[in-house]
Amino acid sequence: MELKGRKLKAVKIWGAITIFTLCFGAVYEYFSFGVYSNYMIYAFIFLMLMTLYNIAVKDKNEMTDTLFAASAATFTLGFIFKGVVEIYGSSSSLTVIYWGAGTVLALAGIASAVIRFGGSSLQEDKITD
Amino acid sequence: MKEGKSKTVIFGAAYGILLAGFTVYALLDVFVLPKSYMAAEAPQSVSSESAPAVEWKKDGEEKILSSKANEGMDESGRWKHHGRIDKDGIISENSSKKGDRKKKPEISSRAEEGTDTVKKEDTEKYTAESGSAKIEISSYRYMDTDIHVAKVALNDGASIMTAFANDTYGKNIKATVSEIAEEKGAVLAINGDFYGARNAGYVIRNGVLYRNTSSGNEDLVIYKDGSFEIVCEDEISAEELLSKGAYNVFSFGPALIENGEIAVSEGEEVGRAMYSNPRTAIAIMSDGSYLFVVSDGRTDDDEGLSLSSLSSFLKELGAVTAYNLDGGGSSTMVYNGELINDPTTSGRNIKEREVSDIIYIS
Repeated sequence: MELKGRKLKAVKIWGAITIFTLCFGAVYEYFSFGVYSNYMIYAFIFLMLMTLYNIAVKDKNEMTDTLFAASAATFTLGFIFKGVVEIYGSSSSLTVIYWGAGTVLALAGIASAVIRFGGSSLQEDKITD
Repeated sequence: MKEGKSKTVIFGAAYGILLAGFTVYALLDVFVLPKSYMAAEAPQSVSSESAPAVEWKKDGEEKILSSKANEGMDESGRWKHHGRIDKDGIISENSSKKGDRKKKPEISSRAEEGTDTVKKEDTEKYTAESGSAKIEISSYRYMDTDIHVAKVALNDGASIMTAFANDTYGKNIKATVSEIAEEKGAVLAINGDFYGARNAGYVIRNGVLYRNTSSGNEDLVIYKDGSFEIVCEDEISAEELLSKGAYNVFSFGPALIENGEIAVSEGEEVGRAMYSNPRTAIAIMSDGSYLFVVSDGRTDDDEGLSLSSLSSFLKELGAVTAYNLDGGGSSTMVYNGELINDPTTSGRNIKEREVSDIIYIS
């Protein structure tokens, strides 16, 4: 699979953010005196999924991309926030906002992709007819 | 098409700002913004049996001790040290600075091999007596770690007391152990369970119920008669504990020793802590005296203890019931206004962390 133009740029950006977040989590854990949080360790996962999404999906849509990106950013920040709070030995009820917003955005992104895919199929059917 | 793209860019930018703003607020909410709360139940009157023997009255800026508590105090209102006893048994003048303390003796060879030998440092000893308690502070070297132990024998009518930072129950209301101790006129103080860092876990202090939300933790209950009990929050409500006579309840844990036996397993840790750390613990002995224990850690000189090591140490001292309190950078012991241990968060500098609460003897 050859990556070109905007697609290559998107993959590079998401890949760089993924690596940065991975390193941030590792450094934070290193200075946490043995107190660990899985949320901090795996905060890069959503960014990695966005990188893979940009590699795998050929025909992309601006709205779908934005919704997925917003969802990934929300989950990533939520994971980092919960990681920081857990390592401190505390808890916060505000984390539920991240999970809720991230899920809504991800579902909206899926809905956007489905609508677009459905619309494309209808157009193709009309052309075939 | 261009209009659609600009809309998504605007949405992305606006959402990014909203998300960043919310994250800043959430971090401030957890770590900075102070919130004071009301007690879960109206404060109950404390019986004379459990009331502190030492009474304070304020005269302008100065605190003057009542005559009942003046025994053992110097003219400035501080407790008189009976002196430091060196290894030859000679009592010398106490140094007021921690840095002036004598260099600690070498670790015993058995301790180096990792066995459960407790070596007492007789160069590090303070004793004090008053109308309410006799306190004896000793330092030990165990598992490459300095452990400071205050043995407290309370007289009739005296109690283990607790205090909140700024005398206020709430979140992000913090002060150093030294500051709270000074405010309360405590002669000996250690950090408590840092209840303010969590949203759940019973909080009963000096006979008042402040929080009745269960965290499922193993709690330490100190009753009005001074006895200890370990309970599980899932099995008893805070209101039931209060009606049973609980005077102070700490929600941190785990229990280190129950019925004279070690109650933690090898490798068991607090939450997500993985290895040796500074520790704070409180224990009761078979003779009814108490141990206030703080160990150092996170420095080149002090490796820190695991829960298992701390339990072994306390068992060797003869503890019947022992409970782990907030440790790490919070671990602090203050005696007569002087820092006894080396509190540190990073190991790079010795500095007291601000905490929510203390346990003290006045």
